[in-house]
Amino acid sequence: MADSSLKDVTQLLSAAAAGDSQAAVRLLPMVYDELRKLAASRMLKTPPGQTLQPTALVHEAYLRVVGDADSRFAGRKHFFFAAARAMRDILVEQARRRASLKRGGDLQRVDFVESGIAIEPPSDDVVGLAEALQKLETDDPENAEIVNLRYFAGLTTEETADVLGVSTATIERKWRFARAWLRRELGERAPPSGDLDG
Amino acid sequence: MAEQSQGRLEALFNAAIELSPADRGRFLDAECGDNSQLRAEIDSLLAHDAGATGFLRSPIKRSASDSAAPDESPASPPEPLPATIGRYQVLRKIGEGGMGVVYEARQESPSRTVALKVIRPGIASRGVLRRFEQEAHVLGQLQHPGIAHIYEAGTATVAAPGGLTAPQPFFAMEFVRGEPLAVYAERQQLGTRERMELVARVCDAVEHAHQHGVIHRDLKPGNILVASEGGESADDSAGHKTGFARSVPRTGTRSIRRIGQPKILDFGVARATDSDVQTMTLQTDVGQLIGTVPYMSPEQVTGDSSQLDTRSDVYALGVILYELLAHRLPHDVRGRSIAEAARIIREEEPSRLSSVDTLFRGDVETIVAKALDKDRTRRYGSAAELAADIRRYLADEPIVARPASTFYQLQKFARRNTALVAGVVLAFTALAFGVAATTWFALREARERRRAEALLVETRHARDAEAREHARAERRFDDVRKLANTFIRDVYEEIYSLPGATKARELVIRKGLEYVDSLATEARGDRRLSQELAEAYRRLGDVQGKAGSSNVGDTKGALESYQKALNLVAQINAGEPNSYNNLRALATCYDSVGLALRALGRTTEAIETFGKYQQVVEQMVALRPDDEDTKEALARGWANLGRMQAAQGKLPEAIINYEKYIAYTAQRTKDKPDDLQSRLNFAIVTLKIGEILVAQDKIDEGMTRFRKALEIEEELCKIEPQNPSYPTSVATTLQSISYLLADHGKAREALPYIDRMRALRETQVRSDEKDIRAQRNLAVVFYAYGLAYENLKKPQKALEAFNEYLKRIERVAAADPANIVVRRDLAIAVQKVGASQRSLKMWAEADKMLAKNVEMMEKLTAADPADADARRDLAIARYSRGNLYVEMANELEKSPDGQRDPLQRAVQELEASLEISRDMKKRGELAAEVDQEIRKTESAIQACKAQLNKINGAAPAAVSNSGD
Repeated sequence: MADSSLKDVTQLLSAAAAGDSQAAVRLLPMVYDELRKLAASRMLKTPPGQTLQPTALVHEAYLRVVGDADSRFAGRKHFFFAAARAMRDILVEQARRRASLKRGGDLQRVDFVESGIAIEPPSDDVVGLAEALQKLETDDPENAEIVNLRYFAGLTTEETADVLGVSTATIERKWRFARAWLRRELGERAPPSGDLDG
Repeated sequence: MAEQSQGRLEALFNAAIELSPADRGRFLDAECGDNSQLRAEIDSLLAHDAGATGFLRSPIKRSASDSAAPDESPASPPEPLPATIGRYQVLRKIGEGGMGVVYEARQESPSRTVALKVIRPGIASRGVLRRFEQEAHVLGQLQHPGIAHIYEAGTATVAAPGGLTAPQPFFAMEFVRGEPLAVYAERQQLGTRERMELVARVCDAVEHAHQHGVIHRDLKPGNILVASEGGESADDSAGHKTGFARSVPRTGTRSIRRIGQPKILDFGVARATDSDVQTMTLQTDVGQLIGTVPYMSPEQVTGDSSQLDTRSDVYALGVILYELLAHRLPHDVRGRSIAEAARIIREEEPSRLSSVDTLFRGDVETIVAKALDKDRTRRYGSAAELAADIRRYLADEPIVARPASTFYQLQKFARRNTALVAGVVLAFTALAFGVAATTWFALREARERRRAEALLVETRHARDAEAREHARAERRFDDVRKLANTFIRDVYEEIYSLPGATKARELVIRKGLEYVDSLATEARGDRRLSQELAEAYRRLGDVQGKAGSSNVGDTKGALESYQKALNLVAQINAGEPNSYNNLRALATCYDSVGLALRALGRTTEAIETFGKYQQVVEQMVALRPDDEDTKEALARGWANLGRMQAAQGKLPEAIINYEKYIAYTAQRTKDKPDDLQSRLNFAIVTLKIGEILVAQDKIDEGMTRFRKALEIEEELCKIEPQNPSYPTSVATTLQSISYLLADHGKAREALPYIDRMRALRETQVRSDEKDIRAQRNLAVVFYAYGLAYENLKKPQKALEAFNEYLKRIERVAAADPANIVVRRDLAIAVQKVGASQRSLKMWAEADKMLAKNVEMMEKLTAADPADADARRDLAIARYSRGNLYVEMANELEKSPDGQRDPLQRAVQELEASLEISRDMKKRGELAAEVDQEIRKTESAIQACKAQLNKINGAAPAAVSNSGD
């Protein structure tokens, strides 16, 4: 089961790298499933109370899909794009679920019990951030992608530069700008209300 | 357009951040020119440049060396003292904690010294800040000499080098000159009584806050300062003196010398910033947490903030009292891991105060133990109750708290163990998380912000509405309230006596409850709302599983709802004692809780609850002895007492109380002939007396009562044909009559009664599929058939009926597994099926069934050792199994050797049965029945032994005859 889906992901990655835009679209749900499955199986082996690190998960998923050898694999970029978005969705989902537990948006423990999966939650307002990011994506897709990779897939500056094929200095500059932009966005918009206490 | 300007913005931003602030201005002036919009954009972006704050640090946990961006260096240099914060002139830094920095500061107008607590900045959106201020406004309303007053809360831009910083939330509060509680007590060499009074005063302050809906959540001696003799706060005011005089204890405490006024710091700060255990563990360092953990209640260390209420503060007050008296903490958690500390608090009983010093034996120990009860429902319901008991002790009056009985303590242990797995796992996860999180120290700032936001979401509705559209909110409030009450009262009552409305009733109540609940969280402390909420919970409980009424078969849920109602009513009552209406509501709640406990087989707790009921009724009698409600409540007490005595097998006593109740209803019927409920109650209790008489072997007297009950009930059916309670009662009476006939050689006469009962109950099930009680009652019809056929010596037909009974009861048990009546039904069904199989010589099947039966009854008995009925059923189960082996042996008459094994097993079972019966006799349970049981069992054992001896060719041995 898991193997066949792994194979699917690999095929999609190759197709996406070869320029198949459909493959790139289909990649996201596949990677999303892969990450969730991986998280669930890791959670079983994780002592209670510990959480999974998003970075570790993404990298492990990469190793499972692509393998160790081919670090120059052309599908690498697509994988991390998809993984960053998938992780973003997962974290947003988790944050929403947590926030929906009445009176305690911060009861991590309930997640362990209810879903069996707990990913180290980011310290920021993930839901609000994801919304702001969507806005950035329309205004400035490149910077949004950097945020996705740096923040949600947990790539380092070097790794991000590597994946995007630009210099680390560029990433650092853009990262700083994107952060200021998002920070202002989050600061000025209405508080993330509607969906937080749903 | 967007992309264009975005690119330009980015370029300008990148260029500007490379420049010094001064050059930056000139550069931007030149670049933006007249484009003020662009300039504003870029300025705001620069203001939001994350710089050294934690914003958007990646969620990755990596080693420090891996930390990529240069601007993310976690080590920030110590901040210099800001000259001013808002309109306060900063004098010096007093302290620094996980949450922020505390300064001593000076306010110009009014001129006073304040303690300024500045919450660490994260990014704070305007919405967050606004709600923060609103929250602080509530805290500002706390005005009590025992609470450090919060003057102002707001946000201020703290001037710091390196450019602008985001506005930081701060609290300005009364600057208290004093020393921590424990230090004060030591230095003043206070005696036990003075220490207790000191804590009572702390309770007064806590109560004041609770009345305003504010829970402290972080009470500890370090948070309580005592202004030493006369020297009070820096802005020593007349108001405080008045307050002080008011809190001086009553006359009984004459021996207490003047002691300082304790002042609680940081009241509500915990709440405003939501620093609870789960967030604490995430956000503060371990050292600080350890200082706090010993004062946390079991529900707090579990990390379930929904369980936190005023009683968590009561617990902390208990710890403080314990510590002040014993010079040590109730739980020594020093050097333990946090998870271990949490486990200790949840599970281990603190060493008794008297083990520290025998001086504390008795009342002092009892008061402290009640405050520290693991089960918050057994703690003092409020800080005021704790204070009152302390003062009762000081005035040499009897205290209210009672030491826990041994049985209760055992039960508590048992209950704790079932909850152990879940509890420990939860506590562990919540806390282990915290340990891991401490390595995240650098991320604290951003987390602070998130925490503040989480809290504010909690109070968002109420606060936003209040601030912006106060009037509209109030209108809406009233609308919703009206709507809720329409549901809870009018609609509910309209459909209450309709057949087939069980589920509808539940929906109606739930809906109404939802509304009231939403209002109640908005307006905590509103007495009328609390009352409405209590009423809603009580009605929800009724429809969930009120014994003797249509319900959806959720007895456990019913108990929970009743308990919620009880807690609310008890709080209201504590707030204004001696209100007759409050007492009446309280009595009703105790009654409901008691009945639900009884239905769940928690007999001892039920008896305790009815005891409390009795106390409340006595207060009602004192206030209005002649009120009809008082009389009714009094009579109900007798009925409950009778019910519990019957359950414990104290039959003569039970009859006496039932008769008292009967007398009341008879009088009432005479006074008010159209009070049909009274007449029904008369019939129901008449039937109960009949059942007891039958159990005492007074068959004819029992039958007379049964017929009397039937007569009244049939009359009621005629008066009000659409009310389903009357046919229900008729069927119950028919059931008792048919059992009696079947058991006493008149099985054939029983059959028509059973047919009638079946017809009634089938109608009821058809009219309301959701009424679990109706389903259960219909199932019992098949038991009655089985019993009749059994006595008619038609084992095959009996087996069929019992199988049907078992099948139906299994369905009911799936819906309401906790109900004791249903559980016993199940055991009885299994026993009956097994016994029929035995008569049909289906040995293997019978053996299996009867073994299962013994096992079930053993569980029931163990679950509720006070339940005599269960014990009798266990004795019967064992007897029945013994009987099976006897019959198996009889079957093997021709091969005496083959008889040996079954006979030996029979003796084993019968002796086990005999032992239980003798135990019951010793306990004085079900005297008449048990004697008969003992005789029967003894002779059966004797017969088996005689046969065994015959097989073994030995002389017949005398049977033990100690069971005189």
